[in-house]
Amino acid sequence: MAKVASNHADEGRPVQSQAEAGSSSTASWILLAVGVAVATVLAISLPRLIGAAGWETGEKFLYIALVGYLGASVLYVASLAIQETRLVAGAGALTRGAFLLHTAAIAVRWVAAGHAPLSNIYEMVLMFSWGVVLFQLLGEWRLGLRYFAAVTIPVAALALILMQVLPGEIRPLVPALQSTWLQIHVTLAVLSYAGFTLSFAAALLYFVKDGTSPRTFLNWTTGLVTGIYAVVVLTSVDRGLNLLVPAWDVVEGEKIMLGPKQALMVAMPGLGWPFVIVLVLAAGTLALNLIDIFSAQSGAATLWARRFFLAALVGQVAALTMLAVRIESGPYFAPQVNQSVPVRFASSPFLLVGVVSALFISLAWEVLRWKHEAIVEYLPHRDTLDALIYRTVAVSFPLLTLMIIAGAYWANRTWGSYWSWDPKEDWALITWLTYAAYLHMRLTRGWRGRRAATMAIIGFAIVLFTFFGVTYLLPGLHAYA
Amino acid sequence: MGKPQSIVDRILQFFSSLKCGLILLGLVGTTVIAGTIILQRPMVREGQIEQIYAPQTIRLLDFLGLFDVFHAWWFILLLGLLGASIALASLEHFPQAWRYFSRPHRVADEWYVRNLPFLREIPLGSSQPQDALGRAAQRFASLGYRPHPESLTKRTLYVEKHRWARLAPYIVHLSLLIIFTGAIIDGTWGYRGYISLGPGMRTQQVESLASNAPPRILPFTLRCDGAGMEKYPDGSPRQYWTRLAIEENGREILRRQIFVNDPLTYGGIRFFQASFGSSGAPTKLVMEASWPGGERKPQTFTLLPGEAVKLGDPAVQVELGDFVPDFVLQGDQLSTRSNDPNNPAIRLVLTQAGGRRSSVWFFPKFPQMNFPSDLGITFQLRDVEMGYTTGLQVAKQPGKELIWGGCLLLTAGLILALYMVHIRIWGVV
Repeated sequence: MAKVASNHADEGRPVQSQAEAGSSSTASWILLAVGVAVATVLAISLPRLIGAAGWETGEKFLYIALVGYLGASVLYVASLAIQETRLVAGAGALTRGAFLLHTAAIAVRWVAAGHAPLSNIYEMVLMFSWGVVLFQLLGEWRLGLRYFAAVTIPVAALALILMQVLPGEIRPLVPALQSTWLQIHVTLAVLSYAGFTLSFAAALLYFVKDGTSPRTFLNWTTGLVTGIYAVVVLTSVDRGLNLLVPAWDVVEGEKIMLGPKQALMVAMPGLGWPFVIVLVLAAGTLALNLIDIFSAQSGAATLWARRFFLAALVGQVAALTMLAVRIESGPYFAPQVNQSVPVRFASSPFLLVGVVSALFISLAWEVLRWKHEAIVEYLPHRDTLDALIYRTVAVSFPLLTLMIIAGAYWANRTWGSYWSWDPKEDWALITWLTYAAYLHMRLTRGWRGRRAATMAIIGFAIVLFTFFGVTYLLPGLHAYA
Repeated sequence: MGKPQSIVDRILQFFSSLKCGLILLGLVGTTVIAGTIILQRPMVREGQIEQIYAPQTIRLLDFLGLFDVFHAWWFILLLGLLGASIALASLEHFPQAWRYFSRPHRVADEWYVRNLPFLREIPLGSSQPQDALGRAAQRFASLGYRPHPESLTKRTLYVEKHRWARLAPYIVHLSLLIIFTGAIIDGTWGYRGYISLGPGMRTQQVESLASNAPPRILPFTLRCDGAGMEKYPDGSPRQYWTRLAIEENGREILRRQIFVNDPLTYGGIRFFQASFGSSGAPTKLVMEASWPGGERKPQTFTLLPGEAVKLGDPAVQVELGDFVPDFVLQGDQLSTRSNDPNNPAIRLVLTQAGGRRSSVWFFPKFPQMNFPSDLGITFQLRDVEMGYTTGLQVAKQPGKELIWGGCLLLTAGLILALYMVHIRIWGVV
């Protein structure tokens, strides 16, 4: 017995040390690349950062924090694949630095506004992303949940990207919002949403650990990318392959509206085609991958699926770059008013976030494909991840309950009714029912594993819809956020 | 088993099953989603639905009650069924949990212990059973688990912690039922209404929020001593307030200033600051009169409603006839779009020395429409001060205490359910 083991070890050692040497140099390259990238971006942005304006609202602090989070995201995702302490140390340092700036942004904004930054969607995203990073850091410190960071820090980075384009000026509080209950209600909301982000991270990693193959993940990845680009193409690309974006009133800092719910649209000539191409390529990858999975002859379409995916990835980078370069260099012609009007990213925050998310997801899948086995081995046992889903829900669900109660109490103080069936309330209720169902299934039916993880992922999708979808698609009493 | 079940038993069994509960949860969820996607009549202005949906769609959705799902009878029924399901499921499982809670199995024999899922034999280093038991008991006590004395007398050992956790799910479900009950009590015996008051006005009458329900009569009189708003430097509203007084039998009982978020409660009825705005009637007009051909200098004068002003020589008496704050012409009818003096139409009544009366309309925003009066005098509006009214929401919520009590219990129950596990350890030596 002992002999066999020692033989095995003898065989294994040289191979392992070779692998270590290889991953060590890869890690050095990644660290170097991220370091240079962060420094370069900051250097390029220096002219933008100089000047007093933008510091007191926290926007410039957030910009630097965003650069830090993006660098940390790359390092954390890479550290899943290559278990190198230097990568983790670098990621941790960047995250903590960015978190300090993030905290500073909240503090200066609080001082400048004279009230806690909890009164509109910009400030909610500010606090939500802060809560996500806070929970991540706490989880890392107390429970060693470092691997969550590969999901949570990119989510925080996406939130900060969204904030770069959401209107961030400080507005005075309308009378209904002048209440301690606003602070209690919104704080509980962002904390519970942040907690559910951690459940989502645990559920996603559960699927990785549980032996879901990269090919299956490719279905989901390309499905999401196809979905995002299909929405863009269907809503914003016209017959002449122009990209339609809302016009921006530079003086007022808001969209130019022609009527209620009807924004003035500007056609950016020829910018539609990169989106159409990515849509076709992503849908093609999905189709080829499905053929690959379900055809009798295994591996028939693998190569072509791979080529399509890489082409789609290049296309996404191209689409994002062209969009970024051209959107701020208007004005462009608006046929409805027969004149040229300026355009900004700020007029279409979700276009930007959708395209960036698609790119994030695609890159994450690339990493998964590259080092699938190493990642699976690195992640803790399935049962640990399953228990982590439950524990994060067990923290977030009472917070969600208290958030709804605090909201009802506040509404009753302000309007004399606890519940008005307003869309935000309804969706908070749906979120609550979803996680209540999860708890019932797990506690009384003993649901574990994939079914429970799927519910946690669906729950998070509903949280995101409650957070953003309701605000932008179904406005009601919660008009301010 | 094997006993034939009556149909009632089977229905009750289905209602108490988790499957039924989850189906009902899903139905409620789906309805709520539908209610957020389809426009709801109570939330939109009149005509908006007709503008957006096709007539056939409107007929279909109206037939299904989907334009007001949250007040539809079947949605209330669905909530009722969900409540019943929660109650029945809890009742079915409660006796078992209560047994665990009230009569825990404290004395275990060796056979019982051998069949437990987690079993560990620990050498205690003593050949005397009583001595070994004492050591084990001491060790457990030092870990914070105090052995139950009854178990020790039978040469066994029983420790437990968080026995309350057994009841946690029932506390959660009970609290939900309490909240439901509070809501039903509010819906049955409570009401919501609206009062609009100007300064100095008194009322006992609360207008119903539902369109054709009769107004409620308060058992006391509400008096408004003034209302107002404060603004931020940029002009946006900072706070609205109303000074209210309660009178009973003509005697003042109390006085209080209410703000948004800070209501007045009296006799179980709460008054909330809801809106503030112009009443549509002016309190003071500053005007200028001009005579034809420049025979006299134009004269500026202040006109108060109900008071006549003498102008010129020979004197003409001027009185305010009508004031339409924001007029629109529909055919030959004048009506107002709002209570704010955005586009006033003013009728003045002129009385000459001989008692001859005439009247003249004028429109300050449309000078080309202004015709001189019989006497040739033209008028211009220099300033207008409007009266204001304050809008109060009124709510009587007799189920309020139950609802908040239920919420507190819900939180406590959830924390108990999620963070406490009933731990039991049996030992035999």
